[in-house]
Amino acid sequence: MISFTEDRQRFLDGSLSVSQRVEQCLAAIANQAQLNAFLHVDADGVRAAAAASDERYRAGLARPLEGCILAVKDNMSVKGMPMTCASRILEGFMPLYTATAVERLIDAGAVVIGKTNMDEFAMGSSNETSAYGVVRNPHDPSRVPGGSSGGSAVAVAAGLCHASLGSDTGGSIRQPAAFCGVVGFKPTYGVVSRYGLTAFASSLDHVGPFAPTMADAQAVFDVMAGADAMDSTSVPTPEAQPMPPIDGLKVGVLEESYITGCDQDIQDAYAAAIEKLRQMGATIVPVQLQHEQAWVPTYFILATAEASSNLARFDGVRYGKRFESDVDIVTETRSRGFGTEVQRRIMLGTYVLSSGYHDAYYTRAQKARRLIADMYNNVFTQVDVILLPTTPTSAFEIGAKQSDPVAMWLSDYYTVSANIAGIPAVSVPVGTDTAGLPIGLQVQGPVFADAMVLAVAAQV
Amino acid sequence: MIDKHEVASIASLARLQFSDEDLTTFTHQFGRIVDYIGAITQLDVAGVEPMTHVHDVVNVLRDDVAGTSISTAEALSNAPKKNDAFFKVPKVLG
Repeated sequence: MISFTEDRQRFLDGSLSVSQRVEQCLAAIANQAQLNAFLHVDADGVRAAAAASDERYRAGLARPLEGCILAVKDNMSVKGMPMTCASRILEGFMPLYTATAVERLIDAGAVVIGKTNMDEFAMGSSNETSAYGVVRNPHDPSRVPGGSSGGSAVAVAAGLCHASLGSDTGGSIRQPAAFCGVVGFKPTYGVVSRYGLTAFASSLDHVGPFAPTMADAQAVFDVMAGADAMDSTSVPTPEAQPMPPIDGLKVGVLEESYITGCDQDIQDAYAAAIEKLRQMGATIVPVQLQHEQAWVPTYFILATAEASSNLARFDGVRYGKRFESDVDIVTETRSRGFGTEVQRRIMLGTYVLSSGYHDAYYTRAQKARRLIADMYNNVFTQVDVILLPTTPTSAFEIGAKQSDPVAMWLSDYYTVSANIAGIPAVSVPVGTDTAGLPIGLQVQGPVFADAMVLAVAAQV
Repeated sequence: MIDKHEVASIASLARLQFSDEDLTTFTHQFGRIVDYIGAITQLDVAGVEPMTHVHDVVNVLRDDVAGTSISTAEALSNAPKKNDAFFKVPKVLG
């Protein structure tokens, strides 16, 4: 992996140029093409941007992220690069503008190298639903990288860029970060603008960074954060609070019954991280995260309901690919353009919103959402942050869960509740299991405690 | 238990159509999914207000000032078919 904060020193002292680093990344992308991490590589564009960054370093005009080589998940608009959302239905689509989060990074000096592979429309936990082929885990190519932001996680893990952007609706940044051994951060809801992110489930969607280190993730996040007039759900960045020392910090940990479903190596890593924080002076407080049986059902009802509405716009009329039919181009386009998992979720969302089921499922899930958010508010009166696993297992074999959608969804067990409540959560790599596969642990904190979550995770 | 007929009618609402074989697979999976999300009906939500949004923001308004927007040509640039200033679709009314 290559760290921007380390490379920046080299760029400043002239021992490495941005252009040299870009050439290394382009060569690495070509050499590791079997990972299938990228859907589009903009070699000419990134070379030109790198040359401009080198000029700024020479002139002493380097901006905070000058020469940070950035990969962007292919559900975020970058003007001049195609965007597919890894779906046939958007074949040939060229965005008219650049997403605010990407624009802010470019304005701070980042250079965009390309667009990364993902689960189709960000619906999946393994990157196997991409219309452009599965992404492979660099630690074991027979295994999945996680999803839905699998390509972005792999791009960082395999040293193909400095940092990347993903989106996280139910764990789509943190779960692949854990599977690939990188940092993946989902900020507080609304702190990073979603203007230019293709909507999946608007009340749950977040944009966030992948990076090799916490300092790198923080550097990217700091530039992206802040209200945006183009996203009315965005909120101002909170005033940075002084970070309380780990000594005396109250860290909530899960009681044993919540983690017995995890691999033994993950349970061991969890226990070791708790012990480490205890030795640094943290007060360890066992907490109960209630309604846990309702987390994943609540998430899937709300996410699919919102998705069925958001994806109604793909009709083959205004943009994307049209599949012609004498009878009905809309049905023909959606039936042939969307993949199976996307269709399954549109169907489920249509079902839970349909008359007769709306109150039983959708309204009830909205009520469950409040119970879960209130539960977190209550827990955060007792503790500063919560430490928990990111995933119950390490990366699984390609194909292992494809025939059972519910088993696949359950790999999001530890991540969805943070989306339901909108709280910040970061996955940090903590070593490998006996098979040599990365393990990630997750730090969650109250709404707007983004800086604290990152600071604690840096110590785990 | 959800049946094939009901799944087909949901598909039609969602503007999707499936082969008979796919519909059978879907119906089977749908039954399992609906059983699973049914766990939510066990939760006591009496007196709980539905939550629609993380933050307590209500209306977000901006000043009524005209700004720049995309041109007609740009709006049409991704259209599968177009004609002059319009998106082109097959004839809908007879």
